[in-house]
Amino acid sequence: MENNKTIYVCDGSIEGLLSSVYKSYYSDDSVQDIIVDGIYQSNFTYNYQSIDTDYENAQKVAYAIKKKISKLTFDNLVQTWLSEMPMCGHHILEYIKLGFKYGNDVNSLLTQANVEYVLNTTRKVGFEVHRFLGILRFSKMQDNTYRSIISPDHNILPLMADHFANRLSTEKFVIYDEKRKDAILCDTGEWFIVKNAEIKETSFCDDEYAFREMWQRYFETIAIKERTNKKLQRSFIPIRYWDNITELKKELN
Amino acid sequence: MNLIDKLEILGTAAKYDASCSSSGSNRKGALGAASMPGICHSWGADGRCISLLKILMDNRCLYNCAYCKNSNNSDTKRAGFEPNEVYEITMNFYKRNYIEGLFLSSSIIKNPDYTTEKMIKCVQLLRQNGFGGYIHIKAIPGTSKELIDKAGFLVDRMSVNVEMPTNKSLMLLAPEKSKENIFVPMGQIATSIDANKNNYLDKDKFSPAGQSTQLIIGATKDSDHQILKLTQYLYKHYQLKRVYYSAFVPVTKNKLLPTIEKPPLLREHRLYQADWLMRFYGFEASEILDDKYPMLDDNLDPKCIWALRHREFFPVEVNKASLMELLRVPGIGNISARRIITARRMGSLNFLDLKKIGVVLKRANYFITCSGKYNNGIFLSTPQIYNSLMLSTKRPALPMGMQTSLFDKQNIENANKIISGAI
Repeated sequence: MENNKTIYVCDGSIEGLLSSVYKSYYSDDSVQDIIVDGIYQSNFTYNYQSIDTDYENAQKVAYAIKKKISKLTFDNLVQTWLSEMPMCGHHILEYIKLGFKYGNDVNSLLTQANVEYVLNTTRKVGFEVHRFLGILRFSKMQDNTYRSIISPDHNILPLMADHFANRLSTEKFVIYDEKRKDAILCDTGEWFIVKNAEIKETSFCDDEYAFREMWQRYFETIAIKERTNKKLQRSFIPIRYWDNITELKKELN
Repeated sequence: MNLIDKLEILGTAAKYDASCSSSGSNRKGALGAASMPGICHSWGADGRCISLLKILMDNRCLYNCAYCKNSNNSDTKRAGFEPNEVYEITMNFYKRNYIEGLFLSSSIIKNPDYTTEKMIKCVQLLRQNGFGGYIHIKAIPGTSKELIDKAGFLVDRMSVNVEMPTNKSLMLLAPEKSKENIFVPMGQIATSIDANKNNYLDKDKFSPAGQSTQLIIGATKDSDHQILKLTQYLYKHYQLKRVYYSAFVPVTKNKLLPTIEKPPLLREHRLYQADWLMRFYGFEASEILDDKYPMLDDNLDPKCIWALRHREFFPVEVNKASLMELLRVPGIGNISARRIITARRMGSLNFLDLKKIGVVLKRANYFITCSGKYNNGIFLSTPQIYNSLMLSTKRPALPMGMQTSLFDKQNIENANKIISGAI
């Protein structure tokens, strides 16, 4: 092949990523990056190759990584992939290669560029997950389900589902990611993800406004005037998230 | 009175309690669960996190503590919750993910036992209905042993507030409370926590997230040294999880209290830094302050000051030092120290590597070597280090309008004072 610098294009799912990793191991392509279909602009430098998602191959790769490297390594690369950052596919691929060479010690190579990238990105995504476990707000709807709309920087929905399913195990709830149009549906502890979901206009439960008002009032009351420090507040809870936070939305205007 | 007004009054009444954490418990109920690392749900306009619904059961108080807004003769709105009201608000807030659980305290109504019984009723109501979220309850000074025991098995954390750092201050400002009233329940809680810590079921655990307390800073003349000594005593003898410091906010007018314009926030901040040194960095109170230096420095954090007074301890060699040695270096925290230890297993580290793994060199530079060498361009006289550390702090260290310079006379003097302490 004249130009063997290749970029794999997959469907964006974890299985798509792992299928690409599988393909890269069994072909001669010099794979530079793994990217998601539909969000790239091609250029002449690279050869673009579309990879079909193959669940069996994906399973094999997942198994090999968990078995030969470590579960931690697998979790790290999943979290890095969900960051949706440009070039993350490239770093993941290199990280996996190093992993098969060094085993779990790959995670001690803190000064190696790809490892550094993966660990930093994992941390970043993990931090956003943790942040959203706190700042996500549910509203009670007319049909007694709880609904939340979020717009996180990274694709953290799959990483949050267990937490809320465990907590609200007596309730039905929906968490909708308005950026990615994905939703988690959960009914008394069992959850699944719906792609390209559409959110229906439904009205709130009768007491929703009363509790919102109470929370709002409590929120304003609890701050100590003499200690006002809005900058500190914003550093903990950046303004870009405020639109979906019941008690802060009002302050945006 | 409607519920929202009650909530406002009893939230206002509770807001000066600094305790906020929701960590340390992994309880799971039919509805709700606690999270081991704790979760903050919001941040108020003062930048303090809101994790628990922090309220008083009642703010009609029998006592007359000088520093407290809810004292008997202070002019403030009064209200009291009924257990089912607390239940409704907590459950509904929790399901909307506003909060991580409940923090319930109270003024002393009628007598300590009556008050505690009422609080226990709230908690029981929540637990009986399967609520597995985090509950922090105050042990009211003077409550009977039996009631404290009953409460401990229902909640995740208990706390008794010491408030005044010395007995003298307590007698002056809160004459109705006594040292025994505070330390006897604290000791009882510590013993019960220890006796039940290995129990498996949630219902058999006694305050599994431990106990905490709070000290008010700046309402009395007590020194930082006295405060840190007390803190260390509390950590060692009562196995407290946290000691909170609450900068005194003058909410009442009383001749016994100092008149201050602003709460001593910087002092509070420095005390927290010193507290961290004792809890996570292996420092003793006597290493941070002594009779000669009874107050923490305004300009630099306590670890920097310690390092400048103990130049003989440095430099620390990054590629060889133990974890405890690394933790003594200004600018290297627990995360950085652990990363250094992980990374150096794979090969020796230089200054560039340190940057890559996220170690901030701004302060550490002066105190470490990599393979026997200091970083380029580092000067080593103590006054110079003091000055550049001062300049590198983001916080406006000096009053508005004053500029600090490298050759500031005052700084040189400060630096000299610090060095002389080492000799």
